[in-house]
Amino acid sequence: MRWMCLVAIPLAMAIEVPLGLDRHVPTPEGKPLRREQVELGRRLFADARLSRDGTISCASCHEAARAFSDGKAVAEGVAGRQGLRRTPRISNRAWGKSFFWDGRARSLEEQVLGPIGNPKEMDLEPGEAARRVGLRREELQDALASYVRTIFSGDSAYDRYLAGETEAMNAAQKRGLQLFRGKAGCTSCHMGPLLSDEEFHVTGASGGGRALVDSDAGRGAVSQREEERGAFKTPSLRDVARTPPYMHDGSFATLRDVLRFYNEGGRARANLDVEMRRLDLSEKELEDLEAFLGALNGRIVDGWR
Amino acid sequence: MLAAAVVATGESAEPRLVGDGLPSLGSVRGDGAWLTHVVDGNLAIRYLATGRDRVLTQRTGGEFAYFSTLSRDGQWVAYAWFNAEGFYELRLVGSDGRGARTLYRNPEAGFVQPCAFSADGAQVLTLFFRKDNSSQIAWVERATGRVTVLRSLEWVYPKKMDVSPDGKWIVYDSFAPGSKTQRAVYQLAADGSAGKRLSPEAGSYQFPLWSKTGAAIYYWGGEGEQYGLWRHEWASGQRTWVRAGTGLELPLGISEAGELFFGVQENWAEVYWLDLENGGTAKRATGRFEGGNRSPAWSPDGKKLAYLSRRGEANYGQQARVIVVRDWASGEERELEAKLAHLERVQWTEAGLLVQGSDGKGRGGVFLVDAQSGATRMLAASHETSFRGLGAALGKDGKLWKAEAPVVAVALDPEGQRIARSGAGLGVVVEEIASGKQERICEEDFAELEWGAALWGGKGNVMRQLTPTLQRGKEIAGRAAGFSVSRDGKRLAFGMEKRVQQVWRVQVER
Repeated sequence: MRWMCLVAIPLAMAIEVPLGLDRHVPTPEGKPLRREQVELGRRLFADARLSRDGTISCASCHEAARAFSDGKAVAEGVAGRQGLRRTPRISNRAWGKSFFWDGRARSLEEQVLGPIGNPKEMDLEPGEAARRVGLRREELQDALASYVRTIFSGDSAYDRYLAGETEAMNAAQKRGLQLFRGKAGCTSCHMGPLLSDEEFHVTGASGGGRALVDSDAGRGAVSQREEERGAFKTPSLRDVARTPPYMHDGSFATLRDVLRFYNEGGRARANLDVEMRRLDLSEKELEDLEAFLGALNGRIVDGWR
Repeated sequence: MLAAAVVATGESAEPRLVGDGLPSLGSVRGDGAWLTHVVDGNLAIRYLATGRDRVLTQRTGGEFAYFSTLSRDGQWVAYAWFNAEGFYELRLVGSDGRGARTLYRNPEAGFVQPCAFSADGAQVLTLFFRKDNSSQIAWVERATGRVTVLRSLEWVYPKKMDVSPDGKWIVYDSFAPGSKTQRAVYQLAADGSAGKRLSPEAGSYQFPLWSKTGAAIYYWGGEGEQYGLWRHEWASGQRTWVRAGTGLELPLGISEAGELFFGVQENWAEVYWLDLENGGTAKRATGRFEGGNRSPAWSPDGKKLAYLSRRGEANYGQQARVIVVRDWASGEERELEAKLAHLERVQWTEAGLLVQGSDGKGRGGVFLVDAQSGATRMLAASHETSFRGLGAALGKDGKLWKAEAPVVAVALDPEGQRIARSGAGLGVVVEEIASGKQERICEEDFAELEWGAALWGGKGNVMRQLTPTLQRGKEIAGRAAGFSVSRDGKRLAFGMEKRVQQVWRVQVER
């Protein structure tokens, strides 16, 4: 049975949380979600005035129609400047523990100002961006974070299957799920409603798995720990089948490429994650796994209902 | 003054024994007259005045009842039921034995544990432990079985959850932020609209329970060596130390008379050794933590003995254990910091210590632990095959021989040329690895096998020497917590265990 969950928020307001996600949507203490703030955040998310030359908004890279990503290998900012990393999907970030591929932001409030100030993205000092839209920096921050907190992806075939709708997934997807939990060991990192452990792992995926060293230090640059050099946060797998390309640098064109990479145990690194090992999955098994990943395409909702 | 109603530390609040042999899996009725528990796999009510049981279920085959909780009016019992199809479902039965039905049945739900009823009795606060090793706090509607997930957590699920008497708040324990060992108590609005940490930032706290009026929450924990029961005032956040704890208490509930009912579930276990060459009586083989040691394993050269030793506080399931390596000549002991969440059994091979247990993500399997550094790596995960992590042997060539159903025990001879297997209905079968030739050397099944100078089998409370004569040789009582024979056949180390399951009550409020 399909149902939606209207989460009661203090001040008698509601947001819709699709099946498969928690009813409890965390917010900073003393800052419950407020309708006017979410709606302001939604408008600001699409406001190009927040970029230096007025050409780029948050929504330029996080397109609702692309599961809040952009389909490009790496992010493209003002004046065509390219970053090093792929634009991440940003659904279900209300439950995130850290933000960005390297986890350098510890809260959504901290995260939302990052792309605005980043020279390769929107390239505008956040205080100046706030002034342009008639707000204080904190108001801009709170509004954007509040809106991002209401972007959800759920009610996928997998969610319905877990809820007891046994026919929600087809036979191939069910076989894929068994592999996902078992032989392929995917749930070592992709678990729970987020399908992510929100932790950092070294897989050697840089440059399509062909790079011998990680030129992007990833988490290592944040933690200054050599063992985390080249580590990136486990991305959620929700909507993964419809959001190529893949990995932190967008260097894998298809899901099958990604699955083959993991099947081979990743690429050798001195600090390769202990979870990485050869899987010896057959082509048929890879096909089933890919079918299962297709069952993670969800219904995406955002904002106030 | 609410605080004045609390029984202060030092007052004559001595715990009183309620019942012996009672597992701590149920809850107590408001008037303290009876509690729910499990007897021979069936859900039962124990009348405390008479000590008599009323059995509420009729199990067959492999079915059994597990955790249960009572509605506030004592009319309904929600309980976990391991069904004939091999998964847990949530069931409901009247405390008079009538109206039994399945409330929620979904193999994908994994483990289910009912923890409390809502104030109006319309919902059951339930813990799900999913197949992907994550846990969830959820409401299950009593009328429809509909599930509402409030909060998802990591693989280490709450040890206790409870609902406030007014039905507005839930308290539960889980990992403290950023920690994989310390716990904290959290509050969560019953509709999921708010939630935050309740217990102090320093220390580790667990097993929260609401007081009878809802004015306070009781929980166990503390900082450093200080461990005990605390009362946390809901309105002010003020905390009061109630009484010291042993770390073995498992709370069942607080009665209307202000008595806290708690279980003590202690698996006393100790490792002993016997001189097989010269005879004599068994002597204790461990240096510290008497009563918390099990699963001995001799090193291949016989100079060291490894065993598992209990640390940390009680919970309803697995114990926290460490590996201790004892130098047999000097008696010196050191602890290995294997990065494992639970250790069930240890064997000692040329390659290192072969440990059956589960890792920091809750995945069961066989792990190889370096006997010097404690460095740990998984050799096989129990979820990948029919292997359940019950038995394994590691050859000199690095090949892992797993006990896959129906086999439960395997052992390689020291030369690695033969492998012995045992399991239900199999007896003991020895196979020559090169030729594949098999021979059943014994009709009797064993839960453990070990092959040194001779092949030994162990089950229940006995160990038997099966080779070299391929006939029953020595029979020694006392392997209930594992055994190991030195390769030269001169020394036998074995565990003895005794299970204590009691329920106590102590006045905490007036």
